[in-house]
Amino acid sequence: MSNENQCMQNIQNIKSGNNHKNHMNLWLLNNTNNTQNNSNGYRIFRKSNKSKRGQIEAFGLTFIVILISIGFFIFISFKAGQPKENPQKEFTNDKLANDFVLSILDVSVQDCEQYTVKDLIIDCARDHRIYCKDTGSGGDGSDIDSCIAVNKSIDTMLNRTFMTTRTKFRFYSENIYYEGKELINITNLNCTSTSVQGQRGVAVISLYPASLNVYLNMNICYT
Amino acid sequence: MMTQNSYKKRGQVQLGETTAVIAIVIILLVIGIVFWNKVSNSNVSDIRTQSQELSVIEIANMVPELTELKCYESGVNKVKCLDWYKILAMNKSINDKNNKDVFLFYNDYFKNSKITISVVYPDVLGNNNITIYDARLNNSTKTLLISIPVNIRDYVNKETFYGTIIVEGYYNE
Repeated sequence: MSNENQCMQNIQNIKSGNNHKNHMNLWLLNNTNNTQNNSNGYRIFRKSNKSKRGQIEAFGLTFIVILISIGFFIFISFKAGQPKENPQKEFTNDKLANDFVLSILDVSVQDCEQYTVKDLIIDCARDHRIYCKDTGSGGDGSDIDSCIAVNKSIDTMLNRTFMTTRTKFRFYSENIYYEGKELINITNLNCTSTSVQGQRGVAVISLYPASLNVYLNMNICYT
Repeated sequence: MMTQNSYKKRGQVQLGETTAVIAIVIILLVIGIVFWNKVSNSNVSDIRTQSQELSVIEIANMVPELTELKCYESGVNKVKCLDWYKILAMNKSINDKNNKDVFLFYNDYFKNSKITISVVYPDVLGNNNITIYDARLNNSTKTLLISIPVNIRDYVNKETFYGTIIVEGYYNE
């Protein structure tokens, strides 16, 4: 069928109210020069064009969905990765170690009531003159030197506080030697120098007139 | 006739597509709302817990700084030190059953909490724990506990104890 005839046919169809063909034919009227001359060819062209458009739309939609999903996952992982604030834990870790180490220095020792922990530490590190009666739990009333008395008293304090609350800690001294090794080295629940360290408290005790300081360290490890 | 059928079919397919899309969107929306609701609920509960913890910390910080409890030597106060006899006096006046004025005065500061002073070392004869304030006003189920190491000084016997201030906050779940 020639182009001219096709046009005439289309116009007739429109006039006779052949509605189902109107849409297609109007399109054809406008595109007679661009389409193939037979009607089957026109249909093939239209179908492939539409299917391409559909593919592009589907691709775009998929792309948007993937983008939204990635954004959503990033948001969730960011939210989940944020550490929750715990003021109680922060406060405890922040104050406990330092407060403990500073508080014990002035405490009277049970076996030597006239002396404090600080007095006995200084004596143990420098003079070795003070002797106390072992009257505490399991004590037989015999004489014990300042080093043993102070070690025992600190051990009791730690036992009644940090060990009962199952806190991971390491309490150790520096520059007090007793029988060839550091006097105090108490560790609870495997808190070592390689563990994740929390708050650290240090008390410095001067051994004046000797030019040396003794350090008492309390490290609280994170669980 | 053929074209009419094909249009009908196409319309049906499009209607099905639209319905599916709407259904999926609604399902996604419902999942989103449920998820968001859960997230915001957990956020609210986190903020509530944090504010409760902060109020307990505030009380725990306040207690060792009270002039009514602190140690003084030659007019200078000692850091983290409580006077044993001041603790006994405060315990007596706050827990006086005939006069609730002191309790009500401290209630403004300590709110719904329990404050206990515990003597840890050396051993003392009698009670090691003294509860100076306890305001369990309702049947609260949740408690937050903070303990702070302090020195407790007995100026009469010239002894210093190691002790802890234990602050427990009562809160409704």
